[in-house]
Amino acid sequence: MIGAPAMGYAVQTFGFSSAWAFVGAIAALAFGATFLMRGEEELA
Amino acid sequence: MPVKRGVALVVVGAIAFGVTYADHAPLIPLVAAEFGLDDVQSGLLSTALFLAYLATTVLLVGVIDRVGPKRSVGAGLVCASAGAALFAIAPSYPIALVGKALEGAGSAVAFVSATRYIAGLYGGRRSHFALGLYGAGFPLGTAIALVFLPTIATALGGWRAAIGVESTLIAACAIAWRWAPEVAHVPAAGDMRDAIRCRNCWLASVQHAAGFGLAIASGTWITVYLLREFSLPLALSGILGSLLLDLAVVARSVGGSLSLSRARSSWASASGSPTPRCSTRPRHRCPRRPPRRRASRRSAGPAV
Repeated sequence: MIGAPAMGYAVQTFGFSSAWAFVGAIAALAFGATFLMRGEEELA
Repeated sequence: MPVKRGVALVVVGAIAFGVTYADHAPLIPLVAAEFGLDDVQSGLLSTALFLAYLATTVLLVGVIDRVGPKRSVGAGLVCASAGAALFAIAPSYPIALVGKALEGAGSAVAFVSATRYIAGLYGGRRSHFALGLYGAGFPLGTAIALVFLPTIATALGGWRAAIGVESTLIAACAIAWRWAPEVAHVPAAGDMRDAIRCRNCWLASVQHAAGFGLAIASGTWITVYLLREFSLPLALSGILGSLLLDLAVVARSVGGSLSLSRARSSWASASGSPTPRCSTRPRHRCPRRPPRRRASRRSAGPAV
């Protein structure tokens, strides 16, 4: 919902490198969040 | 046999919805040229779909649960087919956005219902692998859109014809869905309010945004990237771009299989039995290995 136009803005303003950097930043954020999540066996 | 037929049909439906997520993506150069769009406006076609998806999920999840999973998935397919048809004949950019929104609403109606449908198919058994296959259907559909729609557009003389073919195929999926087996209604263990109060659900949504969301966002632009930066033909750009989504297809199925293996080993270490049977119903959950630390708050869990 946000990623596609955000990448579009990055492409037309800074070029494709910034668009792929945006993708990498979100992926890194999600990877960090995995350390805060509880697994299925902990949710019983 | 009815279980396999049901899973096969629900995966076919997921593929159909996956196509709608990126039907415009490999055709952006053609659509943008006709409507005079810049890159942000092209990206907003995806936003229209997922904004409608979000609104439909939040507002109608209770209604969808009451209607029942089989009818909801069928209604979602019809809605998505109508949205694609509207996009194909759109005389202007705003109407194209409405078409994309209709596709998103249809997908939202079907998405939650299909997970409930799979739960109903499996009854007391674990359905992780079937859910993994179902989840893999979406990126597979998106990859199919990137591969075939530019070729169809080139062969038939334009993007409108390609989207028209897509609409027809989704309608065929809606007709095929009539042969899906009926399932018993499995009520959800919680509702949207439970999910909003659940910290782990928010963290899981970050994973979903980074996995599925970024795959779709990247899939939207990968074809244009290859076309502009490397001057590849549109059809070849679509084929190479689809490789991004192919990885998601494999990873989702493998993820479902790994979850099932882990659940089995947890069960075996706790009870000595290798064959877990559990239900998504709150009062019939699988006995689990005692947690190392007690959960501090109620969780809506995977049933939401």
